[in-house]
Amino acid sequence: MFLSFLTAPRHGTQLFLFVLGAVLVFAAVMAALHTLPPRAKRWLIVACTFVAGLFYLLEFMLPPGTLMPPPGPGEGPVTDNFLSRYVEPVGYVTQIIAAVAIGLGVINLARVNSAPLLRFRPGWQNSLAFFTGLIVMLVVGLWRWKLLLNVTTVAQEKAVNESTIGSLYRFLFDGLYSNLGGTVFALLAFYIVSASYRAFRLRSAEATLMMITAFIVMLGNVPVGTAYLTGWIPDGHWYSFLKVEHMSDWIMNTPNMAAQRALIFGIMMGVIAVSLRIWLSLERGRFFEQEL
Amino acid sequence: MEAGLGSDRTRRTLYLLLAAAIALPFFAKTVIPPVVGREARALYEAVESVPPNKIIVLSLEFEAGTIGENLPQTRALMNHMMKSGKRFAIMGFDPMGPVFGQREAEDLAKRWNRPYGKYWVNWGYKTAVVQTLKAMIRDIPGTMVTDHRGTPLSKLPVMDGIKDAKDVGLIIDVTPSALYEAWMAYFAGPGGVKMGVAPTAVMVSDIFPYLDSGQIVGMLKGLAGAAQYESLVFGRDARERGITWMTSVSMTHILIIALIILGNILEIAARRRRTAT
Repeated sequence: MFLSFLTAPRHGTQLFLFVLGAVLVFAAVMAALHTLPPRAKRWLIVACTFVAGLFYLLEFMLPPGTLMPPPGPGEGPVTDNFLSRYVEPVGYVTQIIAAVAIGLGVINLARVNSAPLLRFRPGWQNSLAFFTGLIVMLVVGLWRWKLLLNVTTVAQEKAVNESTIGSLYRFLFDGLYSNLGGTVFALLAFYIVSASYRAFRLRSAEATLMMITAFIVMLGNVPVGTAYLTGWIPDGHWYSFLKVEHMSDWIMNTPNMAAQRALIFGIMMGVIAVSLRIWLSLERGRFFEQEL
Repeated sequence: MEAGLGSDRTRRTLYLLLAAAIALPFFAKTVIPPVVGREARALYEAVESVPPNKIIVLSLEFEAGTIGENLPQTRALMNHMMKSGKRFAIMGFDPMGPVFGQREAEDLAKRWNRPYGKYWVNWGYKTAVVQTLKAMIRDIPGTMVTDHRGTPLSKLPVMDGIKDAKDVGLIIDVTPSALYEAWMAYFAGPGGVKMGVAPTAVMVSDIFPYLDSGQIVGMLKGLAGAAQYESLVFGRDARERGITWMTSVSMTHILIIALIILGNILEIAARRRRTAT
C-alpha cells in the first residue's frame, strides 16, 4: 500500500513537491547514515542486501497461489504468489539506485576531468572534449525533448526535426555519435586481420585443428564460400556433406553446441556461487572490505 | 624495426589491403548472392506464419557500435513485415535501439505505404527488464500505456485486439547482448510465444543450444543473416543493404584466408631457414 502510494504516477506541482521531498529525505537519510560508526554501516548494508535478495528468491521460488485467494468463477489459474504484486514497485527502487549511480558517474567524470583542464596538465584537450561533448549534447538533447513534449502527430515531429535544434541534434547524433560508435567497433576488423596473419599458425596439432575449423566456419558463413567454393555440389547426394555450409552447420550444431552447453552449465554454477556470496555478504576483496 | 611479420610496414600493408577489400565492393556493380541458411529460413517462415490478429514485437537492443550488423538485420525484418502487411511494434531496453528502429521504419513506411499507427507502432525505450516483461504477459497496453510520442495506445488502430502475451505472434530480439535470455525466461517461455533472435556474428555460437531446444525458432547470423533474409524477401540478386554490405564482408574473409595461408608459408620458410643454419 505504502509502496503503491510512493510509486503512483504524479504530474505538475505534485510531481515537483514529490521530487523535492525525495531529495530532502534522501539528504537527511544520508546525513544520518554518515554519523553511524563503520560497523553499524556495514551491518546495515549486509541487512539490506540480504532482505533484497531474499525477496527476489522467495518470489521466484514460492509456488503460484501461495497466500493468495483462490481464483473466482471464470478466472484462469493463479500464476502469482503473494510477493508477485511487489515485484514492480521494488523494481522501481532498483531503477532509482541505477539513476543515482549514473549521476554519481557523471559527477566523478567531471571531477576527474576538471583538474587537468583547470591546470592545463598533459591531456587537458581530452578533458575539454569531454566537457564540450557532455554540455552540448545535454543542452541540445534536452531542448529537443522539450520541443517534442507536446508532439502527437508525425507532421509535428517532422517540424521539430527540421527546426534548428532538430538539425543540430541530427548533426550530433547521426553525424557524430553514430559514426564514431560504428567506427570504434569497426576498428576490430583491423585487429582481426592482423591477428589472423600472426596467430593462426600450424605450430601444433591443436592449432592446426583450430585453423581448419575456423576456415570451414568462416567460409560456411559467407556467400563466397557457400555460393562459389562448394556451390556446385548438388544437394541430396551422399557427398553433399562436403558443401562448406553443411560442414559448418555440423561444427556449430554438434561440437560447438556441446561446448556451449558445458559453458552455460559451468557459468551458471559460478553465478549461483558468486550470487550466494554477495547475498550473504561473504564476498571478500577490493569493494567488500573497505572501511566505510 | 625490421621488415618481418611484426613490422610496421607489414601492419600498414595489411590495413591498407583490408580497407581496399571493404571499400571496393561498394563501387562494383555486382553482388555475391547469399545462400540461405536454415536458421534464417526458419525465422522467415515464423514471420510468415503470424496471423493478422497478432502482433510481432521487434525488440531493438543495440547502440551505434553495432549498427553495421544490427541495422541491416532490423531493415531486412521490417522490409518483410511491411511487405507482407504484418503488424509490428518496436521497443527496446536500450535507449538507442528504438531511435534507430524508428528511422528505418519511417524510411520503409514510405516504400511500402504502411502508415505509422495502422501497421506499426513504437512503444519506445523501457527500463526494468524483468518487471516490464512480466507485466507485458498480463497486460500489454497497461504496461506500455503510450507510444514513444506519448499518444495513448488505445488511439492507435495497430493495437486493436492486442491485450496480452496471447496476442503476440512472435518476438524478435535484435541484439548485441544476452538480453534475449531475459525475453526467453520472462516472456516467451511463460507466455508461450515464439521467439527469434538477430544477434551480432560474434554471439552466434552462444545461441545454438536454444535453437536446438526449440526455445528460439530462428536466427539471423549477423550481417550474413541479414543478407540471407533479404534474399528471401527480394530474391538472390537484390541490391539491398545487407546483400551489398555482405559482399564487402566476403571480400574481407577472402583476404583473411589468404593472409592465414601466406602467414603459414612464411612461417614454414623461416623455420626451414633456421633449421638449415
